Amino acid sequence: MITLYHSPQSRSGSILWLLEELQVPYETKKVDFRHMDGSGKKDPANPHPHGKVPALTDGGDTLFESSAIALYLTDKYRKVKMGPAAGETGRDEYLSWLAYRPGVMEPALLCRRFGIQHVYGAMGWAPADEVEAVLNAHMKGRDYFLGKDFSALDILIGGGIYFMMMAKMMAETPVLKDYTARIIARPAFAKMMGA
Amino acid sequence: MITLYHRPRTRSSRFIWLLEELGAPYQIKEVATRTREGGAPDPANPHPHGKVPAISDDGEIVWESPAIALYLTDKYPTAGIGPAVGDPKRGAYVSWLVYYGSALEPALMSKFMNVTVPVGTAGWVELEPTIAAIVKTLSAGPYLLGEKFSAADILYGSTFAMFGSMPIMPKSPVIDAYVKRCLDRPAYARAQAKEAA
Repeated sequence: MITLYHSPQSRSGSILWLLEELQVPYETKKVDFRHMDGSGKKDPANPHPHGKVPALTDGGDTLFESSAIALYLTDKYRKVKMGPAAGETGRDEYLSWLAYRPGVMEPALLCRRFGIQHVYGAMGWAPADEVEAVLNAHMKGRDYFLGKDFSALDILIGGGIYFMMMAKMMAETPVLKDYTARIIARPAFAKMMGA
Repeated sequence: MITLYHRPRTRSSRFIWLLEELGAPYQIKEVATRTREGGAPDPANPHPHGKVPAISDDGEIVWESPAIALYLTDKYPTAGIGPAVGDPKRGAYVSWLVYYGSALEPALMSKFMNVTVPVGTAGWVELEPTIAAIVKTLSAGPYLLGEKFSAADILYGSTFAMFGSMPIMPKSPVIDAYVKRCLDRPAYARAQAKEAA
């Protein structure tokens, strides 16, 4: 049985959304974590090395980091396909963008929010303005992140764009507004918001 | 044939090491990247931000270190340095690969830039607890996945080899021994010779 270590209105919501899309049985275990305002504390029941969410266990496997969990789940559970498998068309893009989400998009947007100057050649990411330009160019003319088919990238990156535009951390553009309207219309999104 | 888009002595250097470990046929294409001093993205480089590493493999384009490592070890499973789907170490493997880019890199950079990591907002934590989590895993190790070396150790081993001596890095005999264990591999020596050539 899959167990998702979850906290409502947090990053673990995207994995809940993914599990709903995959239609696999799972249970959630609500855990506390440290919040921005100083409240909350690490829950000893949570297997994440820093007590963050999401973390997930599946039989003997323990996973942390959203992109890793998404990749693991979409490779293993394929009754509903939520990403191209190894050897399938689009695997290159799928892996690259899964890594891009936490390795480039997230630190770039946080650096801008906290006023940290980008340093070329030192930082493993890119300036936030460039990230926004790349994402807008990529989504132009596409229904979903990989083109025609919805995938876990639409949850991690698309969902991320939706929440960051709402928090004014990203500029709203017609391309991205159209895109996020399409993905949040899915029943699994509503399920996540209620969980 | 795999092409590695590379700039010497950068984050792409360790992919020569990985390709040597895999025994896969490859070629290196040196590209320019932007640095502190300036410069422009190289149009020959397929990375969307003109960074290294990126690879192309008969039309497949992969970029970001964790993605490239996973793509290559899935493609060349006989080398035995990346647990496949269904292997009991697969979960740990993908977790540590992603953690490299999502947690270790930003934690190092936050420390380097002297920035306090915002708790509950950032997807990473300060450098000290990051290193502590890695040391805890390596103490049980001796590698990230336990007894067997994997491509995840190429990412972490090369990073600690590069940053280990900097004053910002917490000192750890466990990490020192780990770096030595990783760099002692013949494929690392071959990669070093190739880059120097």
